[in-house]
Amino acid sequence: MLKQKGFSLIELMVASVIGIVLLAGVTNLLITTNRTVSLSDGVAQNQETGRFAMAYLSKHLREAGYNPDFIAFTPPLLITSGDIDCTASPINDACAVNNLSSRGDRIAVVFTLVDGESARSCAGTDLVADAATGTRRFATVFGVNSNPLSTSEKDLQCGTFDIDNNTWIDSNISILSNVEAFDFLVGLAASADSKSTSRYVTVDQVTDNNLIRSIRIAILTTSQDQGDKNKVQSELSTRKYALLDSDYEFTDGQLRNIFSNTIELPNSIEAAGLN
Amino acid sequence: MITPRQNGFAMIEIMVTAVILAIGISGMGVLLLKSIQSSQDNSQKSQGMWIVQDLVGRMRANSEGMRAKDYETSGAVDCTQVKMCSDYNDDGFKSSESCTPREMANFDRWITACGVSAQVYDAASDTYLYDSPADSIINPELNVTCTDTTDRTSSYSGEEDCVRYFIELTWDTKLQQGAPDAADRTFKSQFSMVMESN
Repeated sequence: MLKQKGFSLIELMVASVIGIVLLAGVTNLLITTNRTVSLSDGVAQNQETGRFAMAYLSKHLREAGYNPDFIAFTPPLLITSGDIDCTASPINDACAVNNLSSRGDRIAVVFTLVDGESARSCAGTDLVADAATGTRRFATVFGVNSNPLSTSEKDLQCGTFDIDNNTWIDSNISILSNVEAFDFLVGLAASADSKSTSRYVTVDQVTDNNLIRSIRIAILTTSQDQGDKNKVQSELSTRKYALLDSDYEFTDGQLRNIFSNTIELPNSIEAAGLN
Repeated sequence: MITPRQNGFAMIEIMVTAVILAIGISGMGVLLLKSIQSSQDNSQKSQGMWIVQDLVGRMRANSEGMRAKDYETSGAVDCTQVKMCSDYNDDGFKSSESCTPREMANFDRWITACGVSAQVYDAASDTYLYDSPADSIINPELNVTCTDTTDRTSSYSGEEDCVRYFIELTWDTKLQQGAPDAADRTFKSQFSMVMESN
């Protein structure tokens, strides 16, 4: 008969103790890895959203006041001025306004096309000048869920408005998500012949559209909500983010970043005097 | 009948294995830490880039102040509050004043390096306040120097116009543990660019 000898009880206990210690270590590591992945993911998403949004906005806002006919100056922002009245529909949904919703402001920059020129709207529609007059003014509109108002989504949206025909060409085109809020200020010159910005104000304080020399923008980016179990920040302190003139408060442990940029408007700076 | 002689692992062998495994796992932990540090570092680099980009935009928007060399820094930027040339938020909307190019340049440097409120964490209300991108990097230091001028004098300073600036933003990054002096425990990270104008 084959004599078999198993483990003794002591051996078994020592083995399981060592096993449990090792297992605890590995589990701990797994949990940490999980958190690290959500943190890195959050950091990366914020960075990517911010980088793209700022590049896109800066590029389009810099076109404000574009007019190939240098003599005819185009005021850079779509606000009530000259022949533009922002109270009627549908233009009232396109004009630049501060504190439109809990997601910040809506900005609208104006550019003019003349005969023979073409440009693309926000969604890629061809834009051409009016055949009869040989010119046409458009506005590029940006905001976070600017129109219609909705507080659940976090999409940076753009639209193109045909000012002369008082009609939308594209509206509410979502460019990217995870943008919590958008805010802007306009830089005003002290006088019509000055090229330098002397003050940054909200758009409702602008009395003369021709004095606008620059735009300051700020966005608050966030990352995809990971659910309660995978919050990036574990201590849920209140976090307050001030974007230029507005502030936003959160107590949800999500990772957020502020990005801001100042955009000088070459079109209106060149149109100003020689100073 | 031949009984095969069976030999299990000795206790000491198991222990050695466990130690080796533990060293391996702690190595992985260090790897994780490094990966967090570098992704944080990258994010700060990108923030630093935008902060400098913003300052360049501000300088271009204030061409008079730029030509007059008003953006140059000498030493650390003084973080006591300056004349506010921009509407801002400090527990609610605050209005701005109209500024001369020199005051605007002063304000631009101040808000780039300091932010509206110097304190990020308020212990009394358990609130973190971020009012500037500079709040997400540690101890930002701004260094702006004019590196080239022309013989044209068009600004109010009466001096030759500045046409090229060197802008450098430096901040503290990952901590090095174990260094004896506090000063040796931090590394600096920086972003710099040359800005030209006419």
